Amino acid sequence: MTTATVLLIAATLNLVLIIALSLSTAVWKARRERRARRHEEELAQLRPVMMRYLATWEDGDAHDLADILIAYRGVTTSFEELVAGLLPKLRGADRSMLVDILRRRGTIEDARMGTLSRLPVRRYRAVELLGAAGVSEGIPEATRLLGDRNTDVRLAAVRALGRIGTAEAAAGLLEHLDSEEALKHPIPPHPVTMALLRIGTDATDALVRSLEADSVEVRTICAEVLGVLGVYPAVSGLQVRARVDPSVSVRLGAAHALGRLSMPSSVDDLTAMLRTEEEVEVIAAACTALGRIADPASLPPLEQAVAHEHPTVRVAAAMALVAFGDTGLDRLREIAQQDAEGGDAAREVLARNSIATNTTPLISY
Amino acid sequence: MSSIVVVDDDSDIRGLLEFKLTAAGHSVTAEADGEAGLAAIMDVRPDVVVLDWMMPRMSGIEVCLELRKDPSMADIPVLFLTAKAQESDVQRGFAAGGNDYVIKPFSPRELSSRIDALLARTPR
Amino acid sequence: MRDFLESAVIGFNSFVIIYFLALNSLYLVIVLIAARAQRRAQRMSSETALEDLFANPLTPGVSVLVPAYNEEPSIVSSVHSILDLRYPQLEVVIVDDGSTDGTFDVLQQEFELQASTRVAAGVVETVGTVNSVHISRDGQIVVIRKENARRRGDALNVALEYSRYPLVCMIDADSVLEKDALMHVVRPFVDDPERVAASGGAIRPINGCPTERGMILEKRLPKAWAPRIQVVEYLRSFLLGRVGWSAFNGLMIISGAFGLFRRDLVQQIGGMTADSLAEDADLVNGLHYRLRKEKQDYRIVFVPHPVCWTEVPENLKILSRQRRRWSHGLLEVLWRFRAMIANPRYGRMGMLVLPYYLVFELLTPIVEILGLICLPMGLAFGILNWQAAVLYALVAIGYGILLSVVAIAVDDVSYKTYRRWKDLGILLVAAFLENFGFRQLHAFWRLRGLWSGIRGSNAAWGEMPRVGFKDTSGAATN
Repeated sequence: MTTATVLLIAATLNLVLIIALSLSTAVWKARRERRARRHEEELAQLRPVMMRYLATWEDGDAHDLADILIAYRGVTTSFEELVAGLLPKLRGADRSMLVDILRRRGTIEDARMGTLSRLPVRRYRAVELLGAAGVSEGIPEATRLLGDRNTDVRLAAVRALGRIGTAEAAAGLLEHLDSEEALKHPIPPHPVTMALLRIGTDATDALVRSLEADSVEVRTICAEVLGVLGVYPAVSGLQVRARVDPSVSVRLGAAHALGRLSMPSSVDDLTAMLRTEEEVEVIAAACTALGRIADPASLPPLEQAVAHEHPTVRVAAAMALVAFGDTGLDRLREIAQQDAEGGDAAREVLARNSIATNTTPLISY
Repeated sequence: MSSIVVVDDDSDIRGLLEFKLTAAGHSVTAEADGEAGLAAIMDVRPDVVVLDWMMPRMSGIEVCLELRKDPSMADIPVLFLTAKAQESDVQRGFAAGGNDYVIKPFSPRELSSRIDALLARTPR
Repeated sequence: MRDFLESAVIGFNSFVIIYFLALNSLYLVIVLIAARAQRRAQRMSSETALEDLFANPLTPGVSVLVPAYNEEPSIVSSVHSILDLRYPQLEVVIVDDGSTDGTFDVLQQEFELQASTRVAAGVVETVGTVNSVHISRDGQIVVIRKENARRRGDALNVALEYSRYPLVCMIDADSVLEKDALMHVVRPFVDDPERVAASGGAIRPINGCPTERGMILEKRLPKAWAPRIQVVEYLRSFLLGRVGWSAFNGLMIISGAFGLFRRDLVQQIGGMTADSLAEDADLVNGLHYRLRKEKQDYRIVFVPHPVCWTEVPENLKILSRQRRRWSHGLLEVLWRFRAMIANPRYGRMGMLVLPYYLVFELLTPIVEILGLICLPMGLAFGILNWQAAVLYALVAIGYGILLSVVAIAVDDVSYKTYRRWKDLGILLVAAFLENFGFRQLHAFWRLRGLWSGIRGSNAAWGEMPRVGFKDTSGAATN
């Protein structure tokens, strides 16, 4: 074969591919537009029925509308999209009515079967739907998919459990994370925190229990979430974690949580942390927590912390003093005027505070 | 019958509120962006405004600030209906002159009650 | 003599052909990898994931770093459009880099800024003296006024020093972001927090799109051919190149127009190289270098969703300057990280990505221009016949067009960016036209950039202080 033949073949191939690809893009676009038009037509029919149903079901005479919705079979996915669009925007009874329609259409049952599909995309969509609908019959399916091979499916399962939101879902989630299986197919903590936050008070028992879990990640998650949810019975458990947990992230999470919970009983533990803790971030978090509690007993240790060798701690301690109101501000001004360690942080925080409250700082530099 | 202006860039929510509030006996004007919303409010002089926060052209906060600047509209009650759910967001909403703040996802029934409460509280 | 010339020209032409075949075949492999990644991302993209991210009070805060030099007309609307982004916790750190216009005044007026004594973190070295710091009442906006050091990298370092959130986002003051832009690029960080070190979003030219208050009203193509061709270039580079590289963790560039980084890692490598011409590529390679060296398992991710729109040059003179700078910058970066090239210790970066950029990006203009010279020469001396010459040209050009068409198709199928039929037609024509004039001009610009890099580089690199690089500068001189 000569060079010329090779070139000729390559050139022809290129040309054929270019034309084929351009044409198929055009065909694809045309098909898509046709479908989109169809889709719009269906939505135009469907949407007013749906809206009228949601607006009037309370009056009890919307059965015919419900029947239309249940029997509706479109060519495109218009119904599913309309519902998928509405579900996350609604709460309360209106949402339940919508879910009821899905159930009567058989959509929920289909999704449960879909979680067994061989195709990751199917499993993904199925579990997303179960989550969006928030139906408790989806809990076993979603819990099973926490160990799925596909990362996106696992994440979708976490989100679904958060949306379904029962004690059972929370327990399933935390137990899975603390198991061997979670090591093989890891799940990142952030989506888990959101799922637990969505579950809310129902997750409390599981969270308190898992504060003692083997996995560092699980303990961290539990500490942070207990704080955000404001679970007061967890305070003593969190105090222990903040002092003795071998993991920095758990101690940090516990310090955050103790601050959010702001119980005076945490002051001793937190001030002890200022003395014994070695991680800068954790000391800073303890300062912030003490600021949130604002117990006079913590004033002296916080003042000392303003002179800490690390700027992160200095600023955190100075910020904490601001929370004590005039007492704290007076102390800060004293520190600011001294040219000692911590003066810089005090001045910085005073200046910031003066902006926030729009007063001029009472000292001159 | 009270008149209500709904400004939200989400067509589902606009549609739903239009039906819901009309069924409750109000006259509803719905707009999809802040600018059109403000124009509609000036035009209709409604009894209540339902405002989304994050919208094209003009945010709900800006619309509200504009309303509060104009003495003739400063008293129109504004209800924020938004996905912005942080504590500081709610504070900003009220600071801009909002009278009520509802976080998405929301319950249309609850919203309807809140609107009724706002209407009852406003002297006409 | 004639024989020699003949075999030289023929030999060189064969080389050119092989070079282009190799280049384009390699690119096609990347494209195939990209298509897979693209399809997966597309089918499992999730609104619920974004919702959860937005609603979670534990979502990491983002500091958006905005270097601004004489941006008076646009800075306020840029800041507003950042504040309007859908994201739960963010601050905007603007560095007024010695502007001589009213950049600061308009900011102060709009956001009621107050002087602050906020201090720098003191981790990264900076050059230009900071004159003052100003903060808005709610603390969401920080403006730092500094002396201009004629370096974008330095302005970014200063912004980094005054930012406080764990993730930093670097953008150009004139970038227009989609409402969900931050959510899209933050997602990799929360879904894989142990490993993701940086993420970058796809950039598209904004020319021709009607905008209002920092938002795009409709996506349209530019009116002139030069920017239209650049749209095709961007589609190719972002939808095919970067997705493919990112799929095997070899992303070498995150565009300075929109990228997100873990702040602690950026600090660890000493921030941006202040005097780099391509500080974005420099930063990403600095991260690769550091993390590979420490044998860490990490990811630098590209998010193909089009999230950032930026103005591209319509004027050929400015375009020429931009491309010369890129070429020069690429040389600089490759030179600085030459210790990684062909070094198995740096894994795929060393063995594949950097060599690829060296052979197929940096040196392409040389081969292209030589090919252009050889073809008419061969014809003139009668060494090549017309048919062969035409075939050569056809193959070289055909391959180029094919890649562009793939990119256009991927965009149309996955993102449906341009709605109008006319736009699809224009893109296909632009993909064709690019090869007649623009491509050759581009090669020439890149060659000039390369030349100025080679000529000026040593002197410039010798005298410029290498600020902020404690670790990597040592390696570069090894």
